[in-house]
Amino acid sequence: MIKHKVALILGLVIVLTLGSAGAGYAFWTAPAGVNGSVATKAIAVTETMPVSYGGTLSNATPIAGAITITNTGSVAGAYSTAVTTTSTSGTTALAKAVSVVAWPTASPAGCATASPTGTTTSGTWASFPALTGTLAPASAVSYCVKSSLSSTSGVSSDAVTPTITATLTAGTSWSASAQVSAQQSYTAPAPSVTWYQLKNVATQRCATLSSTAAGAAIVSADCSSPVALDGQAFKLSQSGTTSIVTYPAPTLGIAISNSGNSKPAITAATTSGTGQSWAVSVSGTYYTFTNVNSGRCLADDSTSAGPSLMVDNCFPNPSQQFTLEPIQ
Amino acid sequence: MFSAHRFGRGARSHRPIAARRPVRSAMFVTFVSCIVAIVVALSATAGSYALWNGTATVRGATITAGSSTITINGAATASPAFGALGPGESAVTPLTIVNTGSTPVSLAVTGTSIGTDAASLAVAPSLTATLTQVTDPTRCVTGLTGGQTGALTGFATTGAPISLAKNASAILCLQLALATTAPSAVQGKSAAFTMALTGTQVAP
Repeated sequence: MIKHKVALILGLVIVLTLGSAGAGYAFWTAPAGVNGSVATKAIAVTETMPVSYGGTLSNATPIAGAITITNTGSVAGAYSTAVTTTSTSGTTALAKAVSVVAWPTASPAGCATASPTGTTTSGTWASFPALTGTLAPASAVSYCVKSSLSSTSGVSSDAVTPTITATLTAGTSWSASAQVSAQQSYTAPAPSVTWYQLKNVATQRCATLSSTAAGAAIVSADCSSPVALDGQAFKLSQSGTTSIVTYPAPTLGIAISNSGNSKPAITAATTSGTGQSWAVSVSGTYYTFTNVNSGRCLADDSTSAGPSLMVDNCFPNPSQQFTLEPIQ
Repeated sequence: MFSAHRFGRGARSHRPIAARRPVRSAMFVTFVSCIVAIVVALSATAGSYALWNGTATVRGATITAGSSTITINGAATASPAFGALGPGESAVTPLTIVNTGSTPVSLAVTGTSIGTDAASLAVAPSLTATLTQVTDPTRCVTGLTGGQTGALTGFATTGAPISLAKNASAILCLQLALATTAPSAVQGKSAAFTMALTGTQVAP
């Protein structure tokens, strides 16, 4: 009897299970795939100087050159230039004095004679704005670069080497750079020397202004070194006859008070009077000053520093000979 | 003593006939119940267990099962070409999916794996995939929006899959983009990947 019940229950379970399950689906799938690969590009740039912007700077003639930036990579990018400059002197005086103007050109070879046109960028070699733009792969852009001296005031002879670096970037991390550079030199005109030390050949001491007051003695003193515009600076001022003008009181000159022998040299107003007028003769590098009034020669007869210069009868002696040591 | 008679060979010949009837009756009931259950179950399913029972044919003693297959660009595996990428750039390729099976399927990208070489592993973190259904291959152009976007590594579609009837086709536009922040070290490299598409049979 128990077995009958077990059999019935088993049968009901099977019936209910299969009956409630409905359809027994087998969800088939169809696989397929994409085997792909993707390559990345690369960034590269070159910069050339079809016409050099190097040369000699002068007030009158600018230096004209050209640069060309070429995208040699496979990705488009944005370019930007930066200028850095070195100088022989280590100063920026010349770099600041050189005015630079750049403008895009389709004919870099013609930059030497071209004038700025279109969009121009201006500055100096010490501070020059960036040249910017975009470049597709295998494309290039050229700029004329013209530089000239804006002012020579306070500029000494020097040479600057501006380096123009072009950087091409793509995205936030890809970049490539190239650069060109050329030297520009400037030779300052030789200064017109007007002030000298009067250095006695015998004593190797210099004529020295004891004071800037009229009538002050001109004494023998050790020459200042380095030379400077001080009480040992004199200028030969020629207006008919030569006067020896003092510094820093250019209204004074070396004079002899009278025509006697062994008279001290003093300062006096620079007039055209014969007491302040001197005839200058040159023998090699030695100068002899003969007072027009007395006919006697300026001499340093001292044996030590301190005594006044005198006028004596002229004779070929080192005590009456002077060299002119340029100051400026 | 009773048990010994029941399971012993010598005891069977001496078993009374009245004692064997309940056993045979129970077996009979069980057998009948099973037959009933199977008949009821089969009548409920009204056919085979395969969903594409409509295409299963029975000719004589031969049963031919249905199929569920799809092709991409005419093959089980496609190898599309992408243009090289720079930072911030995209490249696209159209994928024409055809249901070549005998049952409707729903399409989904079930995963994307990256090549194990150093170049692939270096580039892949900077790659993004976008999958968009288009009506025409000519509409598969860079900058296309509206699809699903995600990192190429492990890329898979989510949400409602694309249903594809028997012999029907769909065009998917696969777009790959290189991030603008891609590091410089990935220049000039190539990344390989495998994207798995699966067509899953649709319940009737």
